[in-house]
Amino acid sequence: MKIRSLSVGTLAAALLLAAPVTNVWAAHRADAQQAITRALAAHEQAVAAGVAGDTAALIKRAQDLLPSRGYSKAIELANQARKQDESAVAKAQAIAADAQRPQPVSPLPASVAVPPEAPLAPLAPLAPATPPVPQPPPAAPTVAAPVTPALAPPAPVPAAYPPQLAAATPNRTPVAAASPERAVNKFNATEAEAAIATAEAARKKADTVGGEWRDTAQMIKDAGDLVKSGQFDAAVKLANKARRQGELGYDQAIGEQTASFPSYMLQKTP
Amino acid sequence: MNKTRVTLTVLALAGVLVSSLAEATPSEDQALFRSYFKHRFPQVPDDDFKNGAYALDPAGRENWEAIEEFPPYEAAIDNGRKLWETPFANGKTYADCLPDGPAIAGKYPRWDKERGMVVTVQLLLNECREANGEKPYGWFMGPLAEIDAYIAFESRGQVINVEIPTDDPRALAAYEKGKQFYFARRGQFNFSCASCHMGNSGTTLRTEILSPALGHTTHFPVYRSKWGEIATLHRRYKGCNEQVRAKAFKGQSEEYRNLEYFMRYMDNGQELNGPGARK
Repeated sequence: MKIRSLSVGTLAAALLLAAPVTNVWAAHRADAQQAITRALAAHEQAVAAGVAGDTAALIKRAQDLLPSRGYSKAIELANQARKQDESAVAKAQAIAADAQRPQPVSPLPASVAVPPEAPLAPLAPLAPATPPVPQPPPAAPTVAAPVTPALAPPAPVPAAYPPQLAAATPNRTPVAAASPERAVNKFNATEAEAAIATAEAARKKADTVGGEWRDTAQMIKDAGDLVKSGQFDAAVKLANKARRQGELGYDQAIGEQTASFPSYMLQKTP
Repeated sequence: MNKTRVTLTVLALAGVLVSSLAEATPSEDQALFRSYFKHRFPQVPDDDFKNGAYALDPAGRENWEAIEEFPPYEAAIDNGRKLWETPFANGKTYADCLPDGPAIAGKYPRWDKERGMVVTVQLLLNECREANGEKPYGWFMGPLAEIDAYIAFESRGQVINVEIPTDDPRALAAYEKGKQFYFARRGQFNFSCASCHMGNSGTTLRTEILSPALGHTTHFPVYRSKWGEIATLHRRYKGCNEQVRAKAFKGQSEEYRNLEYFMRYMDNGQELNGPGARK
């Protein structure tokens, strides 16, 4: 009796201790609302930075799940949207910070292709090509600073940071350090996109013979969303799963082209 | 002499092999189909297969018969009647497209030689709408299913008699495609329709009894408690495909029309008793 009560007591204590620190309980409405609030805040930042993608749709899907108590899925969608927006904002901030950094004067190797708007373009001559036009005296004093080509406003933030510039200019701080996702990913965005394209080709091939599986298209879409949030390794893993589904679906449909009455019907029926 | 005997024996064996490999005719298929279920469920009368799992489960049947006293599809029949009788904007009605209607379920699906395809009642209803300047309805639920319910109710008691015309080999090809679809494994779960409704019919999937395939098409459209509304046979095809994790085909696609053609032919001789109520 003593041993039994001790065992029961031990079990109860273990449960009381383990339950709060583990994730054994189902998601609560408050958790889902908190996740959505955080996603909305991240989305506002992305909108302000001009880099908001289609995360508003994800947040809306999360909100629409609350009445039906789909809290776990709502949290998943809200977190997905938040990560995408945070990644987009971080990337934009890194690019903007890099564009404003003082540039070295050393010339670039001839093999490097420099985009016209790159801040490392050679300095234009200071002397004007045409004689200056006399300007009337200003009606009121202005504080406008003279603008020369060397102090031209920063170039517009390009969509993608040219990787070859980072390689050719070792003095520059690489963007990778400013982007935590790149520091931990084994794959890069290009490789992830390639994996997704391969998966899509496999899905289409299966579809041509009526063998596509139910979840393949969604997996490919989710892989694309993972790329947007900088999770390249996860994107490649998911894309590879989708590719495998496409391959298996195709083989399955081809193998079943001659399907007919099973043998057990022929054996058991007198 | 020995050589002659050997030659004749080989020829005879070859003949037997060829005849056994030849495609069975649809009527032979249907005889095999019915015989299989009569053998598997000897206690079920022939005219009870139209009641699906309720022919196998006494407790479920009792509940179902209580539900049928105030059937949940009654509202759908009434709405369907109103829709059938309400003229389109141009003044015409469905009766102008289907003059034999509404008691026409027993005639469909049928092979349309001119169009070279299987046509169903639902397909013709939407084509009627489009021909008269109206937008088509969704294939699975809603107004189309309600008109289908009205047509099924008016057709109750008709005996299924689907024909596969012998003067058009395309009709037989459509039947064979429907048959192949029925027995082909698909989806991540690698199930065919037959996996559940033939080899495992009468057993349970979680808590539900898997209904035998014989009589499957008699009672559609169906009010499923799970759906909370009435829906068409192609809605069920879609759900079953997705449940085995296969991508579903579109409503009234060639695949689903051919499948319906095959399944309806297997139900030849069964009595129509739609619309039905199911879990």
